Amino acid sequence: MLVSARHAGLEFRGIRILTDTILEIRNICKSFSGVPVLEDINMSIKKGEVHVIVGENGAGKSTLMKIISGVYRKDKGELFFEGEPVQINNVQKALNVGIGIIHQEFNLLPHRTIGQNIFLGREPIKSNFLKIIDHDLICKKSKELLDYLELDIDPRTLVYNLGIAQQQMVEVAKALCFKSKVLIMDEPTATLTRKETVKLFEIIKKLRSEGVSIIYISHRLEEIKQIADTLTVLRDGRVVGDLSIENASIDQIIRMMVGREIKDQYERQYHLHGEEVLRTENLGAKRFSNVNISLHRGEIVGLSGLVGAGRTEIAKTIFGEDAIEKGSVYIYGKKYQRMSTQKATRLRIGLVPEDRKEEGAIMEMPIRHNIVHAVLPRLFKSAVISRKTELSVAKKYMEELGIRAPSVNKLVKLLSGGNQQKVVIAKWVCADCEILIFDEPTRGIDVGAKAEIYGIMSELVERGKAILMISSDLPELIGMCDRIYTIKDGMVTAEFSRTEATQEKILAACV
Amino acid sequence: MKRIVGFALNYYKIILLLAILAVSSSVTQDPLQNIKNMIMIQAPFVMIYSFGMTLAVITGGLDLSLGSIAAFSTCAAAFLIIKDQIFIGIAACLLIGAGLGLLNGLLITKAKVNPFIATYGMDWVIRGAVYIMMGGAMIYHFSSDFKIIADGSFLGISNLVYIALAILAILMFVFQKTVFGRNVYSTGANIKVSRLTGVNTDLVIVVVYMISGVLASTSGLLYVARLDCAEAFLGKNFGLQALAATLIGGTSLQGGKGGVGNTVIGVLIMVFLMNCLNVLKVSTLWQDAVFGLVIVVSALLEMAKQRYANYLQL
Repeated sequence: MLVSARHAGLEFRGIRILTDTILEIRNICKSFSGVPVLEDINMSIKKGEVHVIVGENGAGKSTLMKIISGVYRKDKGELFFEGEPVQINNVQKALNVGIGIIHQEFNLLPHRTIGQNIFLGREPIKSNFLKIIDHDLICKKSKELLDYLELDIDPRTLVYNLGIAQQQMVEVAKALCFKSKVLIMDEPTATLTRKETVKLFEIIKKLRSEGVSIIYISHRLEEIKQIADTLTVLRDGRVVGDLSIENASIDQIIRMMVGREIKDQYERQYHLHGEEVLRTENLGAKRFSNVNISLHRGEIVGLSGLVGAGRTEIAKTIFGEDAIEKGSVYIYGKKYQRMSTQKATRLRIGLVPEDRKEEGAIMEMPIRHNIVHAVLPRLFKSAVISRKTELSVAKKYMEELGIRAPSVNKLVKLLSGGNQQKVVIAKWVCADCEILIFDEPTRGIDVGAKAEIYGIMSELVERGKAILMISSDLPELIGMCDRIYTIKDGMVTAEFSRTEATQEKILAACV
Repeated sequence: MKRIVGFALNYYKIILLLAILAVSSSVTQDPLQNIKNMIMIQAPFVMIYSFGMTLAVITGGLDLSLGSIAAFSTCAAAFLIIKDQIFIGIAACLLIGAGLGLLNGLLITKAKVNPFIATYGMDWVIRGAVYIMMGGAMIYHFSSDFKIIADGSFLGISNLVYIALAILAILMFVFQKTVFGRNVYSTGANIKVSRLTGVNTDLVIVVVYMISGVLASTSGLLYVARLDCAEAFLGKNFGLQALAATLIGGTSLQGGKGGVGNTVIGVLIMVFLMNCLNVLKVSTLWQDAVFGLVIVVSALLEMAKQRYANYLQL
């Protein structure tokens, strides 16, 4: 009792009573070129709590976090840290006050060691005169931090060699090294597997028990129940509600986020499948071997597995981006031992890659160019582009897929994540692909757009297309797929039909 | 104020060009003749090889071997042209340009050498080959049938202008209106997305370097016809001048943006700036510095234009 009383919260009949407020946000407003993004945000973060913030993309979560961590300046409003008003004008100031942030995209230098990354910009020095960096001290201190995070890696390892989860832990170590009292985590589990997520949650709980407050942003509503103490829902730049986690249901949270009911997200009708369009025979390449999978018209087939199990590599090999080393691919019954992306697109295969910004759409080009990109050679057989045809085709598919933008000339980078993803899908729908490979199609996309993408996928298979879907989101995979293959260390470990598949069975086959 | 700044940023290249023209015209005896000279005689050469550079830059690379390609192909062709094999000579020249461009393209796509290193290295290799081939000699006194390409005029306008405009029109059409042109831009903007969309990006890049090579040998050929002399030193500074004109014109090194149209303005600014410095009798020591300053300032203005585009409602 005494021990925990010294920390922030008191354990009282199993319920944490949170005592004092560490960060108070009052009437924060922010607008970008006249468009209000945040309006009158009030929130208080208590000491030693995990405060989850949810909201659709564009609700203002990231903007708010960037204001708290000093990346953006607020237009109006006040911040109080431990009861004192503070002006946070830049990132350095935020760090000095005790607010650390782990961004969705990591800020690590790949070719430096873990220790060098943790102490980047504030390396301990041996003597004041020569400013020689004390590498031994860096090593020792980093080791302590890594031990605390229960990470058994040499701090002299290059970040380049680390997995995503380990990199995330290095970011956490970096924040801890600053003695942050408030730690902001922006979608920390987006790239983590189940096991790694559990690990991260343990660390979060450990930090919480020591009085560190965590502001946690997530799209994965299932996790929230496990980790949150309090919950704030943002919608269109306003706080829609504060909930304590005991009396919030997931349905209720979704309702608050989108402001409307979302019925069954996964609306699928199941028919008898058509002919086989894709089969791999003992397919092997860099990260996987002996893969035998098949795909029929009118069917969604899922690939489940941990990040790094080889799912994306299988997809990229079928699509011809990576070279086939062993075995072969049968497309519409014809055997191929060499593939290329040109051949794949000619065979009407389309790939919606996991990284839509780098691999999916050309961000710096208008929607129009992206939509017709794959169909260009077929649409304009004479090789001369007719602007009129291009416009009408692009408009047609923009409407068909429900891409929300003022015009087809808008640059893709200016769209929200969900709409960008729809542009990538539109490109392949426009090219009339028979076989579509979706790699993590809903990662980082808000609830509303997710449902729309599920709708598009269902409609495509209704029309007799075949879909191969890779996802780390098990409920989504089970909800959408006819069959699911599980992949572990580059091998297919099991196959489940829609009726057999449960989260437990799939997980057991993946780990 | 906002509108004035916005206007100035939007049209800074035209304003810069007019300012340079105004300064040079105020000191020359016959401003119109001066401008005419520049446009008729200076600009076309620079324009043709700068187009080659611009195309390479659009794919996200650059071509520093323009000058040596021009020298090698024209010197080799000169052996034929001097024997009055004019058409075969011209064809050989363009073919050699395309072949050397092909080599650049293969180095960049198949061997995956960085475009800067590939073309910079090739520049030395090809230049060395010309020195060996020519052995310090020059080839001159070509027949007038050949020289008329550069010296002749039609309706009072030099053939050079017609040739440059024809090339400009063809390139504008190919790169704005055709599937190939679109693929060049998309490859430059994001090669990975383009490849994953089924574009044969290797082929696109190789063809662009071949076009660049052909443009280099074309301008080399015009130089030879104009100067009536083929020598190994031809085009020593083509590469860097072309890069300067491309950058001043506003084609970004990031790739996927800009175009040959921009480069026309870039070339005019460059040519008239050099002319202006000459008529102002600015010492050659200062000319390079001023020239460099224009490159840096135009890059800054381009950045400012992008950064404040929203605010100034451009």
